[in-house]
Amino acid sequence: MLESVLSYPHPVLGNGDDVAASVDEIQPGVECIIYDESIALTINGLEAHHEQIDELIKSGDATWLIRINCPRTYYRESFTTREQAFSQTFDGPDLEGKVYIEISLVAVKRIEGYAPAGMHSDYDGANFDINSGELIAIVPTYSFLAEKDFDALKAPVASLIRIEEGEEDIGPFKCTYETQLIIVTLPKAGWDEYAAIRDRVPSVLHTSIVLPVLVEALTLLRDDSAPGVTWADRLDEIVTQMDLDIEKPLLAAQAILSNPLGRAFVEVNKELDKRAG
Amino acid sequence: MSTIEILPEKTLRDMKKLLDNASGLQVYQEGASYQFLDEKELLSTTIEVVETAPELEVHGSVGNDLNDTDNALKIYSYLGRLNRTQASDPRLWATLTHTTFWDYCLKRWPNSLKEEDNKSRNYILEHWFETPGAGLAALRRNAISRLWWGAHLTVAPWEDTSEFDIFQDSDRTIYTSILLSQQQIFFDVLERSYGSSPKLRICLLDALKKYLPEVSNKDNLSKAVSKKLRLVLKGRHLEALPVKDLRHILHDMVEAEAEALLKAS
Repeated sequence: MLESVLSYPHPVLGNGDDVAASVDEIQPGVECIIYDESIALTINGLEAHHEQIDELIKSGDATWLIRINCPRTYYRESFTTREQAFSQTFDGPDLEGKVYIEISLVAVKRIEGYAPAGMHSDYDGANFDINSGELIAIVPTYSFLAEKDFDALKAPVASLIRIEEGEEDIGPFKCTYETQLIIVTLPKAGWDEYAAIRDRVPSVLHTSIVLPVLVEALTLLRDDSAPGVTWADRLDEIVTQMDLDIEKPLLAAQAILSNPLGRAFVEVNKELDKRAG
Repeated sequence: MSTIEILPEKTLRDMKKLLDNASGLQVYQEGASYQFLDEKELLSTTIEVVETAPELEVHGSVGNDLNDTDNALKIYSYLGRLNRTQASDPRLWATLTHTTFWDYCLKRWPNSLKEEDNKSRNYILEHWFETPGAGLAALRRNAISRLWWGAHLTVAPWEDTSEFDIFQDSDRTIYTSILLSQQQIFFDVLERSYGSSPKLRICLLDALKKYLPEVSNKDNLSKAVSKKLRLVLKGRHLEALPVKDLRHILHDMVEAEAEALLKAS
């Protein structure tokens, strides 16, 4: 879920402490099942938990607006419902990469003298005229990754980074973040060495190559500078699923790689022990 | 019929690297074909097209002479209704700009490139590849992709849903013409998040169709309306309203901005 904090000309339920309700936050259950050819979305628990506002839905003065937005495929459709449950199936090719589900409660008729019970004392007993389309309540934005074969909690490094041989003979390794996967290019001499040890000491390579690349990628994500490509969507999903603090990219990268330094120590010790033995 | 083949990502990456030096940039100023593609491996797709690609024409450097609407319809007819995943693949569009429609791209997006100038590099990336990190704009500026998307999102919207019956017109391309009539309108519709909503997009183009003839500076009207609409949408989720109500609101908004421009001039 993403946080949403804005200032509106009238009290909006779910926007900070604009309006008190019987729950702190409207949290519908959102479930998404991704099949090969279609994506099924189900939302349950569409309820304001505020007697007066729930009554506006029943009377037809307000409706839930569910907006599905997929920037990668330029898909944006909105659906309205006054029911507590909503389901919709989408064509698989319509959605790819990050998909956002924005839920809000909006007036569909002009509501005069709107003064919801429990509104913040700053409003000082005022009442408001609400136009059609204006917000009554907001819900934190949900998102999911429309990728059939990707599991954020089992994401291998290969789902983010590809290591390739470059054209230069020697020099530092280089990185490209504008591509669908992050491309790490090793110089020819480095590539040969890499090819010889990548299966023997993978954790050492995680520490020396993947860790710094991932820190840089997380920094781009944190600064909203990541391009709209596959690795960025996937890394964002991994961060969300693992509940990582993106403000600390170095720690987050180590968590994603499951303590690469510790694993590298063990790996190097084993190799040294073999030689000693 | 034949199927389109596309360049792999690795080849495209190598092609972008060539933009780092002057000779790589100069290729985009002249030349009967893009010269670095000999014997490059191509990937198959399932996109079927007729054997002969359409001839895209450019008659001049401004306004209708750019022939964007006609060319958009030719591209849309040639490629057909791609699904959204196919149409968001940068490899498809970068392949077409560097092969089938190379001549057209040079004519439509002429450039006076300076050596190793970052501005020139970005110009080539935008119109022949995709704009890095540009979100919604990434493929909307590619010379061929913009034509396909421009047509796909605006041709006869009433044929997709009965909600749009009120817009029915004998001219199936009425909204495509409005969208592609000014670069500014294209930007204000397709590169803004509201432009990906069919309801908002068509209602906005419908209102512009009515009020554009009333103002001399059409770019300014488009800019003013876009600014106003973005402001309104922060607190008002207009997509929840029926199309006829939304159309009315957009018409009022565009009319008010057109009047304000006339008063100011």
